[in-house]
Amino acid sequence: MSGIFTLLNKLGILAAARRLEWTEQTSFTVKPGSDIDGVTLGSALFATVHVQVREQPAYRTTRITFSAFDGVSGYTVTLDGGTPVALADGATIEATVNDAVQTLNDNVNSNLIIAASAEQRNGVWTLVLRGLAEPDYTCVVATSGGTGVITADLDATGATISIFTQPSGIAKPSAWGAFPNGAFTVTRDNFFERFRTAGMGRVYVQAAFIGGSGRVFCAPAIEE
Amino acid sequence: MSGIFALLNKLGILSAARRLDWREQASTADVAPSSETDGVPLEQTLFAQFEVLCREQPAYRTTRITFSSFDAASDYDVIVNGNTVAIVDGLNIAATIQAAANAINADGTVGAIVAASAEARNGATLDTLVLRGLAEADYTCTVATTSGTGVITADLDATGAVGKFFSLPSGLNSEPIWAVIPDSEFTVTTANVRDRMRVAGAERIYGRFAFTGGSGRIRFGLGIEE
Repeated sequence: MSGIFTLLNKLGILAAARRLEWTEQTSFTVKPGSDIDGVTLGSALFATVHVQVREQPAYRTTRITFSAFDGVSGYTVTLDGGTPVALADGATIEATVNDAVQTLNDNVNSNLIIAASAEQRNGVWTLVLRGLAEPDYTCVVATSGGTGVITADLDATGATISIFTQPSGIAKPSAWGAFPNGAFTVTRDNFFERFRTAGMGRVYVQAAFIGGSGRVFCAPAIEE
Repeated sequence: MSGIFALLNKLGILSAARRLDWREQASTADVAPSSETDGVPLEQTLFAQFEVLCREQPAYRTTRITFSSFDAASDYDVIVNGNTVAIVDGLNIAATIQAAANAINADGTVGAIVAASAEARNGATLDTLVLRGLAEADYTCTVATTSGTGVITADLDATGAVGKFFSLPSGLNSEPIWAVIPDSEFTVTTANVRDRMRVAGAERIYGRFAFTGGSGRIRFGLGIEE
């Protein structure tokens, strides 16, 4: 094929593919102030923003981890303000987490609210609770005795976000600016939207998550 | 034609033809999506048509009456707007629904509200008694087994629906997370709704709608270009 057809064909394939390249924006609580804030756009004409209030809209997820483990500590999980469920101590985090799954799934109160499972994420054993219904539930964890530290990280219940962009072609440092009509309230249904970013060098999402934690991703897009 | 011109020609025809590839969402339950197999795959299309159907046709309400368990010795009633038509037993489903269609059409009251027909909707044999309203307004329809062990069911067109659409971003394979499509909330009437939406960058699409008063359908038509 001649050069121009090869190029057009490649562009066509790229344009049609629409497979986004996502970058997680890990800092989002304050307005942008640096040339390295947010995500570079790579001259993309459009960018897609994905704000995750929940891991899945259908249920709230809680991730419980042990930042310091002590086999002699007592641990409890309290759901929706009910009776605390005591977790059996194990010799290791892995054993404790797997025992906790069994305990919570067998408990006649907790097993009406959540389904528990054990997951190893990035090498860390995690007790994962997924709501059995769509509404939010509450989850509080506590340690009694010993030096163990247990932490519950719940999906947020909502968020407010503002999109900022930084122009390209201006000598650094250049000022960030709020994207027109770029402020949104995000529910537990999450947020996935594209923005025209032609002429911009970077995009940044300022996010305030409520009632738990969430995540922010940005993806420059090839075309249209 | 050389390869590249043949390809471009085909693409042009496909683009211009606008012949959509329609896919029905299997579940219409009023729940948020949670699985990476929920909804319908978008096949990297840029735009998709969607349709939320409360009625088979906006001009009238349709009721589909079937026998999930047939008993030739059973007696059945079809009640339309409070008026009962007794169904004459037949030897089998086909004979019974044909007799029912005849009885309903001959009934001076119910026959003025709906037109009945016996249809083969799930194969070659008559299996569904279909009632179509003779006017646009909704009518009510209930069915009952008055004797025997037969089970008769009436599936009416919905009277309305409220809901929204979700999409699953592409390229997030390790953690596929559904998110609502902004400004995608619709209140659907008996006129149904069909429109297009931009879905570039999304891998799947899902409609979450609460149908009232009956059942509905959610379908997506994938297109090549704009």
